[in-house]
Amino acid sequence: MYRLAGHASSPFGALIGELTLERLPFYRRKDMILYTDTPDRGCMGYLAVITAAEPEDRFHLPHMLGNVSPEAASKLKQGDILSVSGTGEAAVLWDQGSRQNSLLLTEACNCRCLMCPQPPRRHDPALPAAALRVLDLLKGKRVESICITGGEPALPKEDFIGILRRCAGEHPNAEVNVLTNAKPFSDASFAGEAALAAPKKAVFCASLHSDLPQVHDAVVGKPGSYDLTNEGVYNLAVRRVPLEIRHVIVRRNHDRLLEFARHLYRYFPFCAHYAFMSMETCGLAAENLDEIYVEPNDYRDGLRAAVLAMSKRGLPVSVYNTPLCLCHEDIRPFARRSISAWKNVYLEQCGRCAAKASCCGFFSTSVKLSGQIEPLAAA
Amino acid sequence: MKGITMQEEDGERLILSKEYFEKEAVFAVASDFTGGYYVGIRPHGVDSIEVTLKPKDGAGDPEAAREFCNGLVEQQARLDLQKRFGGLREIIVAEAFSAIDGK
Amino acid sequence: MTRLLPFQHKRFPGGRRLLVNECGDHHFVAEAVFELMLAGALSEDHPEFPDLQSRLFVSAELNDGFGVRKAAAKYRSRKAYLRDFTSLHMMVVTVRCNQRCEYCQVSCAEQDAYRYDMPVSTAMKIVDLILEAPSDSVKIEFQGGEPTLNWEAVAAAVRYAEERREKAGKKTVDFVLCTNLTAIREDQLRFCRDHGISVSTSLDGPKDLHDRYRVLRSKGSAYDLFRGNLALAREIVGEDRVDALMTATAASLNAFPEIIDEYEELGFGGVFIRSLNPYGFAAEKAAELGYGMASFVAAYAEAFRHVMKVNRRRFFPELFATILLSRILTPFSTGFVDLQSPAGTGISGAIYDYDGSVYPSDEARMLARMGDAHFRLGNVHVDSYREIFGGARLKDLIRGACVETTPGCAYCAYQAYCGTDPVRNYLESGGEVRNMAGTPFCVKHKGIFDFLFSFLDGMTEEEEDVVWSWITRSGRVQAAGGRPGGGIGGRGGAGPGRPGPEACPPPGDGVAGGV
Repeated sequence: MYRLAGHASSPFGALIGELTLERLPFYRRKDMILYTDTPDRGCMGYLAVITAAEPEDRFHLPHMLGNVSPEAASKLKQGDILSVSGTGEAAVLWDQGSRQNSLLLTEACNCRCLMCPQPPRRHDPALPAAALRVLDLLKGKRVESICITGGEPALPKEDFIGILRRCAGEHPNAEVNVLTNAKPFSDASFAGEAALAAPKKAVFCASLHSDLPQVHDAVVGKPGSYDLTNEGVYNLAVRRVPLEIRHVIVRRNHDRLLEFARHLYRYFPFCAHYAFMSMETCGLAAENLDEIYVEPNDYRDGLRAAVLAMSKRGLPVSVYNTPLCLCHEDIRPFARRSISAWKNVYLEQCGRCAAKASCCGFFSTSVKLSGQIEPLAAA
Repeated sequence: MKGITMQEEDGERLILSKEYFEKEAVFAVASDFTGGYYVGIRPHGVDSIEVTLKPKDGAGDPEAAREFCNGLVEQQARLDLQKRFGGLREIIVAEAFSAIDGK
Repeated sequence: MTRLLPFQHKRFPGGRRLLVNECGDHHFVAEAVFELMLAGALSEDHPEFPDLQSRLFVSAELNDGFGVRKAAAKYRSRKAYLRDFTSLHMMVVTVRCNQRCEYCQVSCAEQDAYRYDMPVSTAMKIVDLILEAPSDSVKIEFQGGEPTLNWEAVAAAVRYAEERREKAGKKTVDFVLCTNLTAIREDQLRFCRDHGISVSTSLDGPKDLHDRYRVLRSKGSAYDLFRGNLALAREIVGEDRVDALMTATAASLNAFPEIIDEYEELGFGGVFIRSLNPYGFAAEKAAELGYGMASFVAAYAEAFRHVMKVNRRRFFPELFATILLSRILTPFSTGFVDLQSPAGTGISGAIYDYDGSVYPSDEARMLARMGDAHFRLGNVHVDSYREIFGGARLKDLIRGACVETTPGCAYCAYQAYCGTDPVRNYLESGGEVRNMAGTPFCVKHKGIFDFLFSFLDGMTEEEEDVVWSWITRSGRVQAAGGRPGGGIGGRGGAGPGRPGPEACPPPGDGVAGGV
């Protein structure tokens, strides 16, 4: 999430609105956040104002976030949805025009994955409220894709179902991805509710980190998770919910990629898509780095075998977050540019690489990058 | 081999210990032989079973008794395994044919 | 302690033990590992443990919750053909034939024996019945005799089925014409093109082999006539709409490589090495045409190796192996009528005789022609759909027709992949259920499974690619169906086709193999 800092005019509570770079007639200002160089009297009626100038606390003017660096502010676009708060922070909740927007429903989770980039926190009801507010602001707009995420987004059950319903009703053509560990859907009646509420094109992306219960459970840090995730996935599948399996490669599971692929074909052949993912080493992953990190050289053969095994069985498979130079040549066509633009970086040597334009690059957030990055020659 | 005594003189008479082989295993293997042989099964003392194999035509397979013994060992292993599976096989089939929400 | 999940097993040469679990997943282990499993002494630290656990042969003590449900879901998928009731329908539009093939005498009549033609009214009655089947996609195969000799019935059935399809709630009705191609006319081929009818014909091999037992009543070479009309059929109906099946006689057993080459040369997309149906010909011919199944298995193995060689150059599946390998390697249900448990007779396929009588398989129909109507399910003129397919006759037939309860099969390692045919059992032994050990059916299938599993245990990466290309692409090249006069009782598709998001059903749902 793109954030920018400044000074608040007063300690006001978080406000969520749509950004405008142009001044609007008074009657259209209520839900809008104005970005302006000159926070004058003409700012009346906006939800909030962001400015590079000194913030002013005047009773007839909206709440203001001032002293924002012009360079940081230059990334803001007309139509972005922002949250601005009295703590002096603004965050882009919806990046207008991007295909990688998400609604964060909670930071609480019923797993504690060793490689989780966002450590779980106590549930904050403000998050689903903010998500609902974003949906209010998106009403009637063209939305291509929505990612529903957490934590485990299905933990606040009612909010989750409500948001699915709203997505289905208000953005029937959007691609909706739900990033879940699928455990909440082990409750068959809840799985049924979700299946009914979900937009037709919604894909539930379930994380499954091993074909072996004990390995999966060790990776996600909670015993019994494997069975619940399996049951959740099956419960969704029998209700014809489109599914994707996401498999993050860590030290604990990197030596069974081919067997895992085979297991997927045997016992999860009904999914719409399968993804092998390299880690983003931040959050818990950074803390547990010694325990989870595995050099790409140690799994590139296994990854190749797994991807080719799935491909020749006719399963749609992708490789996420893995730079092309770390993939064997014959599986490069399966590698996607999967890292969100705002946290996507390349290394110095990537400048000389012929494949840079089609490469996912790296997470700017990662604390450890592979030492095996080498520019590729033109084909 | 323990539990099997082959009577070599007439070649096709086996004495099987009940301690090692169950009736079910003996019958399963015996029924595989009914195509080419007249198979006789009768008690032999209190703790053994006697099996006779008489070829329907000609001399029959000289290895028949040995084949019978091998079949019996394999079959008994299957029965022993079956016990270790417990009722799981029935549970799998019952679950497979149950209605999806009909639990 | 480790917990074992249900599986069957078989000893293989070289100290290997094949394990096959309840839902058809397989794994080879060393004999020593198997003995540990038997003794209940395989620990979770054993290097083989993870793979056995992954394939649902064992479970760790703490985690055996969901394994059973997973196995059950897969089991359900593999039996999905049961819910696709009944998808393959064969119509014998005439028993007349312009050929008099040596292995098919019981099933064909003189070319002018018009009383063996199916009346148009009967054909339409049959279509009505077929459209009552619950399956939402049905395939209708026109057989004979030679069906092109009673074209009126074929054309009427096709037109009528097309007209009634939508109202009957069928997604698709596919048509297949099983013809020897030696009596076909251009207008008939154009009709096939216009109505999307695919053509399934017969080719036994190079000219000498083909002409040896495939005999024209009018004399002359059946092969030459066939070649000419094959070209015409491809030109009119389409290159990929014409498939062929072979029948192996004793004369072809040592010529499989030449037969395969002939198929390739004539531009077919694959070959189906098919054993002779032992019931179609007169007893005095048996000595000349027939053979023991052990010799067929040996010849089949050679054929398979030859096909593998061809596949180094190009995609060219052997379709019987494709069916069996699909069963072994995929988690899906495969719609091959001959090998199902419960038996596919009546459930997956049914055959309608020229007089409107309904039989669960072609053998059952032949049996009736020989005077024993034991398996006759009814007649479309007097019985309703419910009486024919829901009646006691079919239920009794299917009830006993499960390998799981058949002596000799109940403990067979290949149980998950094999099937049973109560009609054949009855023909050979007078009973619908019998001990299968040593029967031709068993010798053939067990022998080919032995061969294929040995192959799988040692195959190279390149061979594995070939196998998967057959399985995933077989939908495109599968031969269309049974053959005219005394074939194998028809078949559904070979493989599950390419599994995509739409094709892959949820757990427990299963794909019907493109029938």
